[in-house]
Amino acid sequence: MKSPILSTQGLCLSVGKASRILCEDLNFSLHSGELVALLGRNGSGKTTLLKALAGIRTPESGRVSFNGESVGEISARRRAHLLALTLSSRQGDGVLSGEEFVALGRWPHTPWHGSLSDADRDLIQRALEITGTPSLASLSMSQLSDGERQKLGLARALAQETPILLLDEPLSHLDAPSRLYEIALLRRLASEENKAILFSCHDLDLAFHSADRLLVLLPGGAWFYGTPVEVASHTVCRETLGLAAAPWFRYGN
Amino acid sequence: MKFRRVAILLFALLALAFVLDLLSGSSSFGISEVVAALKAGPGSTLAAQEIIWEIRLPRVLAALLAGSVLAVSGFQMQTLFRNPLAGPYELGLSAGAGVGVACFLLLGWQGPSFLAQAGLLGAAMLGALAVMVLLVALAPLLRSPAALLLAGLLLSSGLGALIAAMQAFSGAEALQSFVNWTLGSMGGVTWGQLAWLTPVCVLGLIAASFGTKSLTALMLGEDEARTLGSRVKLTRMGTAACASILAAAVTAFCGPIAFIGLGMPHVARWVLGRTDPRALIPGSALLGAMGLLVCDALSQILIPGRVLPVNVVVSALGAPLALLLLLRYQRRSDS
Repeated sequence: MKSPILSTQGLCLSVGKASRILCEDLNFSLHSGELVALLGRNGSGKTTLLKALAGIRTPESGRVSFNGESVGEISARRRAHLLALTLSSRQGDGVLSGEEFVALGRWPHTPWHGSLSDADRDLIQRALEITGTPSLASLSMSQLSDGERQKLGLARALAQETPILLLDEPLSHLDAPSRLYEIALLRRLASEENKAILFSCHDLDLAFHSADRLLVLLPGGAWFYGTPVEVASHTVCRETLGLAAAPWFRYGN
Repeated sequence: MKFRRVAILLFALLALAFVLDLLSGSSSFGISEVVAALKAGPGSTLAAQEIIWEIRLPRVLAALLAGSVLAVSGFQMQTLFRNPLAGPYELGLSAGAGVGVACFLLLGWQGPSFLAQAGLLGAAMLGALAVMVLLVALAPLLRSPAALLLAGLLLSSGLGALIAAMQAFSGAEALQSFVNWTLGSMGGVTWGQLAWLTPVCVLGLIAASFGTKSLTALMLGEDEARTLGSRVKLTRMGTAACASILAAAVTAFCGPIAFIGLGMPHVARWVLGRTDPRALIPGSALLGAMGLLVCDALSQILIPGRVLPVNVVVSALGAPLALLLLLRYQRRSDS
């Protein structure tokens, strides 16, 4: 089997003074062309894990590796060519237009003065088109709904042109057609453009039916990593994700 | 292309404002007299040449520099604090610089003229940097833009009290010199002061230009800026230091000048139709310089035979603009 593009070895994460353990001894790997959903209850540490994987949050112990190289040994500049991270929190980018926001994805590729080349502009336009957001390009970010901002977040990550995409709840706030469009897009990016994608999500139907694997953060720092069939038949995962109490949820039976 | 046309227009308007300010003053000179005086060079005993070279040219050059760097400092603060209501005067940087100037002028820390100017500048920088350190520490605790603005006003008020206490213990001559400074004016700026002000402003503007790319990433928020490869801490510290030094340099030699730093970046956004720092740093500099030159010219000609402190004119025009910005921000927050 191919070596993973992103992996963790014995990763431990906790938060707060009381040291609430989010995950303990996490060993997980993400391969190119793979779409992995990160599941867990509110406050289970999905965003914190994504930040640790992106190298902007120091873990309590353990390490994160890109192609076998420790994240600590990779410069921030080179890391920006390897992975793109979008966070779901609303930042103070209200003064930017949609296009300027997406253009920030080209930041690691531009010279010191930050000017965009024609090739950069083409990539920005392509990212807007792929995500179905050209109509949002000229609008101010402050005028957009949360769902529209999420779409532009993905467009920005695509404009960054990295082999790894770490996406924090890219499907939240989206209407049903947009959710379906976006998950199909992620699936296509993984299979056709060979991108390694890890996305956190609360939509179990879409996660189970679209992702190759699921990483589930369980209470007390435990975790489970497996295929949707394996997760659906794992008792603690079923309880944590509330599958047992969701009669509408049909997966693997 | 539209952006290039607007830039050319702004440069032309700036040149016009420069000439207008050079022609404005209590003595009336025509363009030909001003040109002749400029051609003749400094050192003449003729009245026109002396007035143009010793009073007007330093004043106009100071307005050009002060307007541009105050607006850039304001833009940097607005981006740094992600607060559209931030400005060096409004958040207390000018008051901090004022404490430095007060220490210098009121406590009589004087020396040879050239070194005295350096001391004045250094004292103002220390004061402004101290306030900036406080603001950076307070900003995470004050989430709403209005709260940060209020904190700045409270800081200014506290520092004002400190200055008042120093005034109470100072001699009449020092007090008069300090009171003149508090009015805010480029009228008293000398060539000796320009020799300090110019390099600080030019270097500050160059540093600001080098920081534009990093400042752009910061607009995404610290976490995402870091994933873009930006060195966030360095950017924040560099921007804070640059904004403080620029505001302090102007405040040291021209006194506190309000609203240019707060308002001109917004005018630049409106005029240029752009929001990214690559356009807005030069845009704010151009419009800030133009705004202060026009206000300075107005301060010379509004009341015949009298010269108003430029801060009076800037405040009279800037206060309604700031109120409009506040209402606009409030409307956005409500929607």
